[in-house]
Amino acid sequence: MSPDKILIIDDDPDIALAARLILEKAGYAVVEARSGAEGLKSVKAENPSLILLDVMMESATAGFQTALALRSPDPKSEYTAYSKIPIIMLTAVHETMPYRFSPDNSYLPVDAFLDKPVDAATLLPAVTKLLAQGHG
Amino acid sequence: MANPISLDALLPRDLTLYHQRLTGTRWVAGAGILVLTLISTRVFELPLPEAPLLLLGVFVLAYNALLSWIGSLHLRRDPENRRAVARQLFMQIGLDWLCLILFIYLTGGISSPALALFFLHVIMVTILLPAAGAYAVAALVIAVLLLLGWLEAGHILPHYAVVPGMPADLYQSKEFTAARMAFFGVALMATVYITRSIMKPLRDHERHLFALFETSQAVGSSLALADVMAELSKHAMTALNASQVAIYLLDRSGRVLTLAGEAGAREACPAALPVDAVIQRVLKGDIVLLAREWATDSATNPVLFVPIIDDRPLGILRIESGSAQALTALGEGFLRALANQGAAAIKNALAHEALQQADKQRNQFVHIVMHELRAPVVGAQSLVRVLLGGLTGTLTGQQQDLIDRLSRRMDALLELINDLLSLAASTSTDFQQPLVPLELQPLLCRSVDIFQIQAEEKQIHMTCQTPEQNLSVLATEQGLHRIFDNLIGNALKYTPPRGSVCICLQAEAKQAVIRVQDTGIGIPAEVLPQIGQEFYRAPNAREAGLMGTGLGVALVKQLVGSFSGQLEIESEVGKGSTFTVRLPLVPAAAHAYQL
Repeated sequence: MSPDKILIIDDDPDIALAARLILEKAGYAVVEARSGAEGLKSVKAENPSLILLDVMMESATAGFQTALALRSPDPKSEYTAYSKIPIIMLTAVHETMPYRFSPDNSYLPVDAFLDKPVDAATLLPAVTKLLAQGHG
Repeated sequence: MANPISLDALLPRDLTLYHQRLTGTRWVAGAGILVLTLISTRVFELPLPEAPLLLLGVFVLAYNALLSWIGSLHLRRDPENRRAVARQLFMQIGLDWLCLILFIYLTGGISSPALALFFLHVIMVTILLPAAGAYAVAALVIAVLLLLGWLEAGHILPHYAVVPGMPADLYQSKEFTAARMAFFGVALMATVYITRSIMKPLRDHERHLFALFETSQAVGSSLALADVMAELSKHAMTALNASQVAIYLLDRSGRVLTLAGEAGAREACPAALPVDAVIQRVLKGDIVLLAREWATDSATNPVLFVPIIDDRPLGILRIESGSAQALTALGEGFLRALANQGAAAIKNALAHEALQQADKQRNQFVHIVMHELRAPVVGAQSLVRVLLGGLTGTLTGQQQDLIDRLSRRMDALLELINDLLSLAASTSTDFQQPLVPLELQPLLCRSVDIFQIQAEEKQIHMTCQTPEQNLSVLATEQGLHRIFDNLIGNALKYTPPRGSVCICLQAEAKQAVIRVQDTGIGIPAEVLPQIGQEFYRAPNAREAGLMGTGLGVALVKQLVGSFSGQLEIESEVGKGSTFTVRLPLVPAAAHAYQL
């Protein structure tokens, strides 16, 4: 069975590199995208098993907008086929910022939040758990 | 006039006071009739119709009693209902009038010496009723008296001759009647007129004062400019009895006035007024009345411009009314007082707005700066952790050590940025979250758990005592996290290995008390007051080589303060410190806190 493919959408090359090193060591295949727009194209091209999505990229809400596009309830959306791919959101937003959302918000369709900096100890378990849910 | 003046505006504000006065006077009148009648007939043996007069006296006392009883009922049930009190007064005036007529009739009709009593009545009526009403009552008096005279002269009604010595058939003399009634009539009307000319300015001033009072209350109740403008326009319109009031404020360039608030507009006021020659005069301080159509203004009614000036011209008040007289009748003093209230309120509202803008800009700046500071540190840390995790190959001992140090420095930097951001955010109203009732035990235990590993690594004995019953306070979850994390983290940091940290939660009086006690390096007494100042670190902390931002306690202090609590610090160098947080207890949280 080919390894699970993980797509990292983040405009910070260092974060992306750190995540790639961790994930590749753990046996996953990794592709990267540097912006929300590029990310959406990559989703279609690569059909990953999981997406790591940064909150702030080309704009302060680029991450959320990408997630909303991927999980759009509109049946005519071009991303309907990809709406089931688990998404982990990488946030560096401080807890007191008003943009902080919890996964309880029904209109923010991501499956988990992880605070930056990227840490193997927190990233790998989250990835394993979400992939298991998907396959199971 | 564009607006009919409402009845309410004319009746004196203190109707109940008049009500009481009239009632009191009537007791005297009724008793007086009885007493005087008895004295006149028994003592002076005057030919008065004793029985009818006594009856009249009793009747006066009776209806006075009845009406004052009804009045006090109304007062108790519905004191604000001025219409009810007004109705009462009118009834009383009517009955008084009737009794006076009867009295006059019983004491001789046209030739009665008591005719002068009507002046008292008419003065009272003029004070209480609108002009038209007062004149009508006076006219009615004259008419009825003439009718009475005619009825008596025609022998339809019996005449009572009460003054002995007066010619018995005087009442039949047409010349006498004409002469009497002519002078009496003129005097009565003149009384109404004079009383009116005294009352009207009094009434106007009363109205103006009340309007100023109401306006100042309404305008002072809000700091938002839009609200202030709306309230000011509305109250100005009622106070001035104008058909339309608009407030224009000078914009930044000082060349255009933009519409800020309006009331009573049937058609919209012009959205902007250029500062032409007329407006310039107004802004310098003159009140200007435009009696006809003006090129810059599409008004067809007369318009009054009043300047709104504080220490500099702020704008103008534009008042439109159906008649120029109505506008000129408004006292200059009153107009300026109204405009000054507006000026004060506008200045406050503008200052408030400026403050909010500055605050907002500062918050945005802080947000951006913090994000820009965090991003590179977070990126670097991520890479360092990959290195430390051995993912790029095994590291030599020295490499491990150096990269460890790198990591810790960056952790410290990140902590500093986070602390700074928390401090900045907690003082800003934008980021303040609402206080909710929260149970302390779960939050405290969670913080203790987080530090468990650290305590074990350092071989510090950490204990936590919590009471059985739930203790709840009004706070934010993140705030409490910060407080507990900072206090416990500090206790562990400044306590050497094999020391102990004791965290204790209990209720004392009406407060929840959280004590974090350590056997650490302590704080020297002389610097104890400075702990809690931003960036301050005690000298022995620095000497011990322990890293810290100096912001932790400052943040705890601020958070505890925002939850209406207190922070107490006791310490002894070399023995340890105790940080005590006191927070007011609230009844148990409405919902169970979920971790």
